[in-house]
Formats: sequence, structure tokens, C-alpha cells
Amino acid sequence: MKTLHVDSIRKSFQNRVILSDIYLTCNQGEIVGLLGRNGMGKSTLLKIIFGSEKADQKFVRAGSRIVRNITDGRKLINYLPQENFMPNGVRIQKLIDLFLEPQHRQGILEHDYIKPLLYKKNGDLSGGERRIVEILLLLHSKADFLLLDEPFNGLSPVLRDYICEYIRQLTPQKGIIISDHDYVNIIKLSDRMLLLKDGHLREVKAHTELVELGYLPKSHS
Amino acid sequence: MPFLKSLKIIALFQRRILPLALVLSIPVLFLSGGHFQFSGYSVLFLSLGLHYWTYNHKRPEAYYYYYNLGFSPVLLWASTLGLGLILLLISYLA
Repeated sequence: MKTLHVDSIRKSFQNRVILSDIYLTCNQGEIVGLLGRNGMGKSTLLKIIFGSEKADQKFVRAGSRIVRNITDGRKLINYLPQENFMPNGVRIQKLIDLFLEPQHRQGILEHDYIKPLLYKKNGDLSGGERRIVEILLLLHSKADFLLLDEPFNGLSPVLRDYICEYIRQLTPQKGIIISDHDYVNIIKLSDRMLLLKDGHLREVKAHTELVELGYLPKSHS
Repeated sequence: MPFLKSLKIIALFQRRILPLALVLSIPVLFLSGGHFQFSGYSVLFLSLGLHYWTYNHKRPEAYYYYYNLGFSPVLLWASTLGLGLILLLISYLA
């Protein structure tokens, strides 16, 4: 079983420390929920782990490989950004063929949600359809670890539930760090929850702690 | 990653850059009185500009499709520069 090991991440921006001495681990087969208020640096943290954002200091190891940049993390770590990332003007089938190895394609090509979209171009899909294609692309990829940044963005409640269930089914093969403002689904889905606040990451054991730490309003306690 | 697949991914990335740079450099060819070298330079600089406009300015998140395939920003910029230089070399040979 591989472990994603993240240590000593520091990031500052215009003399403001956004991330300070961040340490976290994620094992294959584990889902780690990452919560935090807007602007606390959740996306920045995920991008630093993935390698697309520079940090003042970082150490990331996936399994036995040290990940310094995107190329080091190839086939080990994939990242779902908040915005739709697939190229426009290209058929979904082609994007899937290029993105996935032949042995990983079958599951997605025969998927009920994807099948009707295969011959459409990305630009012709709705925001929700694009999102579901992207999530499934990543879930079916070879990567051992997935960093999902607001995956439920633009998805209807039914699809959110479906994606939660789908992620659960695939968990034994992957380690997932998931961040979203839909905290109900994050709490439901996660094996462990972390809260990013004032540049520091702390483990949250109970729902009430989220209220105490100011993430949820007191009316939610 | 097989070489052919890498080429296909680069071709996908370049499809909004190189064809447009080539089309836009046709007027340069006529205005320069048929000097292919001028056209070659315009392809090189236009493709770098279009790369920046298309991916860095207009839709930065589109990079992530390629990042997830292991293509770093340096590699993607190198592909644009490399193809531009190849076309510049061809313009000198023409």
C-alpha cells in the first residue's frame, strides 16, 4: 500500500503566510476531507502537492518517489481543478482515449452517464456534464492519488450522491484528498477530516469542532 | 508514455496555436515580397504569443488536462518554441 506523504509545506504571498508547516498523509484506500473557509489556501495546498504551484518549501513523496514537480508525479498524482479543464472543440471519446490507458478505458466508455456524450464535443456539454466527465476521467486514471478540488461544483444533488457512491467503490485502489464547500458530502465521504485555518492544518474529529473552529455557524451545532 | 501518444497530445495542445499562426503569417509573406524568412519569424513569434493568449491568459485551467498527463509547463512551452524554430529553419531552406 502506497502513502502520499506531504511535509513542511510553506507558502507566503506578499508577506502574508498562507500555509505554514503543513503536514499530511493519505494512504491508498483512504479519503481525506479538506475543509476551510474561502481564501484559506485549500486550492493552493492541493496545487502545491500536485506540483503546479510553487511553494517556499515543500516535501512530497508518493509511495517511494519524491515529487518535486508535475513530471515527477506523472501516473502517481492527478488533480481536478475547480474550473473545467478539458480542451474545448474535441470529442469526449478522443479526450478519454488520450487521457486513459487502453486497460482503464472500458469502465468509462460503457458508463451510463458518459456513453451518450462520447461523440459530443466538450464545448457542447453543460457545466454539470463536463464536471462528471472530468471526475470519472480522474477516477479511472492510473494515478494512485487524486486531489479533488471542489468536485461537486455544478452537480445536482442526485449526481453528487452518485459521485460519492462511485468514489467509495473506487477507494480501495486510490488515496483521495477532497476539498469542497459541500461539507455534508465531505463529512459523509471522508475517513478523516482536516481543517485549514490561519495557515495551519488540524485534524477534526467531530462535527461540533467545525463549529468551535469557526468553519460552521453556531446554528449548525 | 509511447512516443506516438506523446505526439498526439502535443498536437492536441498545439491545435489552437500553430494553424492560426501559420494562417496569420500568410499576409506577412505577401507584405515582405515573398521572403519566407520573414514569414518564418512571424510564425515563431505569433505561436509564442498565441500560446500565451490561449492558455495563460484566456483559459489557464486548460493546462491541467496536459499536466495530469505529465506534461509540465516547461515542456509545453518548449513544444511551441521547438515547432516555431523548426518552421523558421524550413523557411530558411525554402
